[in-house]
Amino acid sequence: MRDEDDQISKLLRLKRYEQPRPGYFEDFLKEFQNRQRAELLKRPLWRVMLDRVSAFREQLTASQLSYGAASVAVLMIATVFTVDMLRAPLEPGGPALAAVSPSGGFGPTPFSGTSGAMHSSFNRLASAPVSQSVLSLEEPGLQEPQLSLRPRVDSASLHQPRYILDSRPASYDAPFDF
Amino acid sequence: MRLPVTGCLIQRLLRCATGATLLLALGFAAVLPGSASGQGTAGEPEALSREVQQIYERSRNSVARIEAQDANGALVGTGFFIDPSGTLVTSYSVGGESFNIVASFGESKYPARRLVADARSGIAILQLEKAAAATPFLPLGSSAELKVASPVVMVAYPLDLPLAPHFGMIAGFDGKYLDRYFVTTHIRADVPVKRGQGGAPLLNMKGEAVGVVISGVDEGAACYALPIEAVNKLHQDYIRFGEPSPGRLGLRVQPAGVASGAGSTAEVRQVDEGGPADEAGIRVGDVIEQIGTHPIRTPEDLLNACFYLTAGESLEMTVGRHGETITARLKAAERERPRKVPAKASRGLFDITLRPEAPSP
Repeated sequence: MRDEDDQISKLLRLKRYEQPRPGYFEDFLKEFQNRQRAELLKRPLWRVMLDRVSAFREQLTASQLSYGAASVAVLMIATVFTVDMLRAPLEPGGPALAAVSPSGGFGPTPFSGTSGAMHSSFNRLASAPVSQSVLSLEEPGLQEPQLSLRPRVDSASLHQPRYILDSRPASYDAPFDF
Repeated sequence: MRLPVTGCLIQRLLRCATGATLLLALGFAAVLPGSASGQGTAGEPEALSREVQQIYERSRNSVARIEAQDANGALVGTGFFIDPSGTLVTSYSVGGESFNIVASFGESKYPARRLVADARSGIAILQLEKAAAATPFLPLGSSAELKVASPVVMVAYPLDLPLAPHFGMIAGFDGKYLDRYFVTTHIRADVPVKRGQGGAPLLNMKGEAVGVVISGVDEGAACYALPIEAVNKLHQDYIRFGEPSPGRLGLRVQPAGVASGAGSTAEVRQVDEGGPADEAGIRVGDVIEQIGTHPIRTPEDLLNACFYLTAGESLEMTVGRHGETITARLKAAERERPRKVPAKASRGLFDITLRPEAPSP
């Protein structure tokens, strides 16, 4: 046992300075992948797909499946809502909210004239007179800079004009600086 | 015998005639005021309607629909001419940051360029680029002559509808709304407003412009208008300096616990070193009693007194100090103007725009 250890030690000392040529490991990896690809190409595509699907199915658990199903459902609902809102006709005579302040305006809203509970609530907000501070984080007493939360502006509504009426005159928190 | 009988008969007849006359007079007295008031209630609305129609007819060609574009798309508002050279006044939200501005009035449609955009007061002044002839314009009145319950007319374009008159009355004059102070006193008019009417003229019953409609109040049941004097000040600044030139005194005030001898509570809290007030010898603790021709009673009174200051303008200021009244002469310095607000809004589910801090008025 002792002799073996000594021999191994000697061998390691001898091999200590031996290194593979530069790029050996990179080439090795490439070569390995090339061979693997070549091996795969020899098999029919349907066979490769089948192998992959079966391997994937083996890894799947019930919880993962439920997460996936829920995600797909949410995505589908979101898509349906988005498409519905984009296609909805704008309210006649009131297609847009006006400016909320002298420095910026409410953008046009695509929510007017749609149906459904969420849409009707958006309708109320969107078609309300602009003096009503809906969809706005502007509150009296807020120090500027202020946040103005505006309805989304999309490319379809860019063609609809916004009819301007400010929600309040230009106003200030600290007026006593003269 | 006949004579007394005849005399008695005549006396009776006279008495009857007198009684009948009295009864008739009483009847007329009772009936006529009622009928007169009845005629009045039926006639006054018609007279008022005729008056509003006349104002509308006189002013309709001087009011323009302003169409423009900004980073968020097309926008529409109202404006009005204040001189024959095609100078238009509208709200800042309509013409302050927009481009491709087009003014339509009567049958005419002209491109317009921006002369003044003043976010501080909320208005923009535009000018037609190629007006063929002198434009019709509204005479400017005086908002100081207005009182609570004075009748006013607004002529404006609601939404995409044709030009229309709106009748109402002055409800008040406010220096602040929901705890936020205006740059100067605004006219609150009980005139219903709709979208698209930002920048419309508020007219008195002589058909003179007394204000510019800036915003709605209480869901559009009423509106706030900037007094026409403020518009005139900015226009004059543009004519003299090419831009608004607001002045400042270089001091801050606070409400004093005890009023001065003149009844003012506008106590100087801080004086900017090297500023006009400092150079004029105004000290912390002085109570401002008058600025120029404006008597001061509360700190809010300085809003009006200082809004109309122009940089470089000399004025007298009266302060109370330890029971004495001191008059100082000072020259208003230039006030830093509000930074231009970026017009382009971010895109997303909601647009969130961060506005830079507006300088104090």
